[in-house]
Amino acid sequence: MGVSGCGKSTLLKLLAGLYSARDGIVEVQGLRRPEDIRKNVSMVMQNIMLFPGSIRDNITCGHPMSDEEIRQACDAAQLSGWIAALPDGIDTFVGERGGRVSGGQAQRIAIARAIAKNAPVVLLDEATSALDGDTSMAVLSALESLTKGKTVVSVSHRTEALAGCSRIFRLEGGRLYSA
Amino acid sequence: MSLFKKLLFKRIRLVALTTCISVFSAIVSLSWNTQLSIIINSINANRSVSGKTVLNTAIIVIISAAAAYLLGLCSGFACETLAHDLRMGYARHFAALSLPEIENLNAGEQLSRLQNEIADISGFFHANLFAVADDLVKFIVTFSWMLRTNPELTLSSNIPTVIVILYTVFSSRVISEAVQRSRQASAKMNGFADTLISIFPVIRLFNAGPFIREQYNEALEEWENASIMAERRRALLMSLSALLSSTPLLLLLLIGGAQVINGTATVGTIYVFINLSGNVSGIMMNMPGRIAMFRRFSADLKRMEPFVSI
Repeated sequence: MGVSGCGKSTLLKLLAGLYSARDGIVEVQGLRRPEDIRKNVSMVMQNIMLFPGSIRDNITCGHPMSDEEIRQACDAAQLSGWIAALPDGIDTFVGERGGRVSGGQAQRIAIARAIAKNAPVVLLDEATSALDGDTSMAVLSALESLTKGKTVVSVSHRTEALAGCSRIFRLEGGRLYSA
Repeated sequence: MSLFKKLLFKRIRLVALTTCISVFSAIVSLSWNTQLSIIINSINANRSVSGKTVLNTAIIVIISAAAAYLLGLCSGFACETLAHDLRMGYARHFAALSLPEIENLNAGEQLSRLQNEIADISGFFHANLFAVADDLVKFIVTFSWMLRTNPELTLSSNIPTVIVILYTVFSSRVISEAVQRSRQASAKMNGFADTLISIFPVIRLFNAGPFIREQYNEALEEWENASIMAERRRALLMSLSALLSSTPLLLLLLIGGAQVINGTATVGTIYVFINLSGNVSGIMMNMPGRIAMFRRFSADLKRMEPFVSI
């Protein structure tokens, strides 16, 4: 947790191997090289970024994945009902920068993508901020069961989104304090 | 073509002035050729050329130079004004969009339009617009004068060019369609630059580089095939039209030469006809290229039409 601008998203990007630390070291799963860290981390970002492709492309990112794996990820992200109602189903084009889907749908696609990667470390940056209360709780509950045995680092303003967390920290002045 | 009409009507006075100077320039050119014909016929008949004729010719040459200068100045100014109106219309369109519409735009594709279509349209304005108009005026004025001077020679040497015109209309249509496809493929390919920048963190985190590269390569291949097809068709169709368009000059030499031998035409008239053939058959010979360029220009305008507010 932490106030806006305190560096929560930056910390997650450091943990994801997207940024390199200027001082000190970043070690995730015993790995220090950003390219190695990235292989072991999946992340749902605050600013949802989708490829100008289909829902399937956005979940698989072009990697070989079975239909069952994709279905599980969609179920967990509460996407399956919406996808079933689409004429082109999972092959529906999401538009340029996800312009053809709503903010909530785009966020759920991003969550499904993070689940489908099946990485040992999952980083969630305000992962359910664009979802309504019920959907948010359903997604968090699904995430909880799917991330069993994995390390989940979640950043949120909403305390209810951190309900299942084993440890909660507050980021202030560049330091972490136990909350 | 409604965008073209809007652009022209917005600057109708400037366009009309340039067209009037073009007509005046064509008439002066004909007067110069008439004087030349008189001088050649006088020399051919072993008569001396009068001082008055020489003075008239000198005055016509000076007026012709002044008309060419004025035409260059006015057409240059008009073309730059039209290109400026187009660029401002493009900017005005985006300024009037709502936020959701802006959010759905692909910056790469819009930039591609700015770099390709608008640059090509501006280029056409500068290099061809008034050159085509000037050619048209020269053609009408010169052809009318030729018909009045020697109708038999004019018709017999120029009527076969109708076949060339029909052929060029067909070929330019084929070229235009191929160019349109090539442009669409180019815009799609350029759109990837925007995608790469906007979703770069996701590409790195989810190792989606090969996936994006594959999509880019598909778009690149599509553009490559479309461009090769467009250029191949253009080369094939234009080489045949170049062959066809040499017919009028050959007929002019053949029929005109026979008329001079038979005494039904003077050497001066044939000389002027050959001299002015550039204004009639020459323009027809250039027609495949001109029409192809105009087709390309109209295809660019058609693609720009939804994005320009005039």
